[in-house]
Amino acid sequence: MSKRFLPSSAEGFSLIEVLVSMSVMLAITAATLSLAVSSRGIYEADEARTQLNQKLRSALDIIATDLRQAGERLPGDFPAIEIVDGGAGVPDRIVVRRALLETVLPLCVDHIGPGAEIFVATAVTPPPGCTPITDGDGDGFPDNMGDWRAQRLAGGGTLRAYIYDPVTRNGEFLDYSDEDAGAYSIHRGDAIPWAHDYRVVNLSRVYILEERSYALSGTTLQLVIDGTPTIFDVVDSINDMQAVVNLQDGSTQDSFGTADLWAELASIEVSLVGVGQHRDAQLVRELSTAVFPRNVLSQ
Amino acid sequence: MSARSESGSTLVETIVALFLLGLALTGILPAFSTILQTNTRCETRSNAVAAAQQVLDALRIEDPESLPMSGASAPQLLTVGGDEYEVITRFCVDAALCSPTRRQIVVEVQRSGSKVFDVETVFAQLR
Repeated sequence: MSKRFLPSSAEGFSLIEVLVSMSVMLAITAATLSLAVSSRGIYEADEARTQLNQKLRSALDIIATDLRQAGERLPGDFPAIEIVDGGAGVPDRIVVRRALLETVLPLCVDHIGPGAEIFVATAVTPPPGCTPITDGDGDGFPDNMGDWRAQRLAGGGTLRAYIYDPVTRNGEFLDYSDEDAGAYSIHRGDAIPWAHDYRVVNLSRVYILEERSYALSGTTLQLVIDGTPTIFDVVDSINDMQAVVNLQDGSTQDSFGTADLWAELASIEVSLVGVGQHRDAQLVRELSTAVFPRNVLSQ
Repeated sequence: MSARSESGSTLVETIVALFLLGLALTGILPAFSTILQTNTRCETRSNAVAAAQQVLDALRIEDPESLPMSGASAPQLLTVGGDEYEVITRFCVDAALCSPTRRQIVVEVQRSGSKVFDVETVFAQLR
């Protein structure tokens, strides 16, 4: 207004300056911010993908390791590996078993109906499969029962044992909690009724083994050990698990049951499909691997 | 006078601020892309390891004596995690490690022509 505020041109210039600088700043800030935001978006998508990959990889590694070890110390007529086919679009279940103790107890008296005792040795003429009683180490137990007793005591007093009839191919888990040197029997400690009868003539026997069963519950891969009610969550975000069995004769099966001989396996292909979420986008990845159960070579 | 000096500093301030912002972003943005590259490399490599493991696993069923004493197998195409890998198996690269009952096996995994991973072992029959 007045000449006191001269130079007036300088004042006008400063306003334009402010506007220009603000608009330039706005433009550059907008550009850099959008760049930063999109970078972060890509980074997050990558992180989600990596995380999903890692989940699939670790789940597959865990299952593959168990499949490789399956059948340890087990004979060919024992179902060391089971693949329960879920059908099209339904996840499969994978069961692997391996014996923890070399000593296998034979069934020496038919086990029919209830009764907590399993007779694993006999003082009279032993039936086929039952070896005569010897107590080499003098601990008061037949040597094979002595091995079991030592294993049981080392395991805290109760072990999971598995009785199996190779002819009917029936088997079940039981809590092995005690043994009786005089009667040559081992005791079932749980109160669960027997699911099947077991016969001496079929060469039924009892194992101390570990069973690991993998299945999906919703989108969580779960592990059940030795048929106990305790369920372990392994990995989440798994949508599907499919297993295919390749046999040494070149044929392929979607399922592998107790009647199939695991010694004829060439490889087992396991595929996992994982689903992740990144913002609104669904992320689907599939990972598969083929493993060869090494103990096939021990048959 | 004071108004003049304040308005003058706005432009300088803005330029300095933008310069600093640019400097910070040029530092951060490449770091993002490095992370992406590292993740991708990591994934490729772990897939390659899985492919090699699968090929070695399949060889286990063979009697080592029936495996070749020299040369390489035809490239095997394996799809792991959606990507395709070429696996070449070489036998007895180091002849000293081979005998009639023993085979040295070198497995090389390639992705689009370049080597990603290689591993070697010796198989022998203990039965």
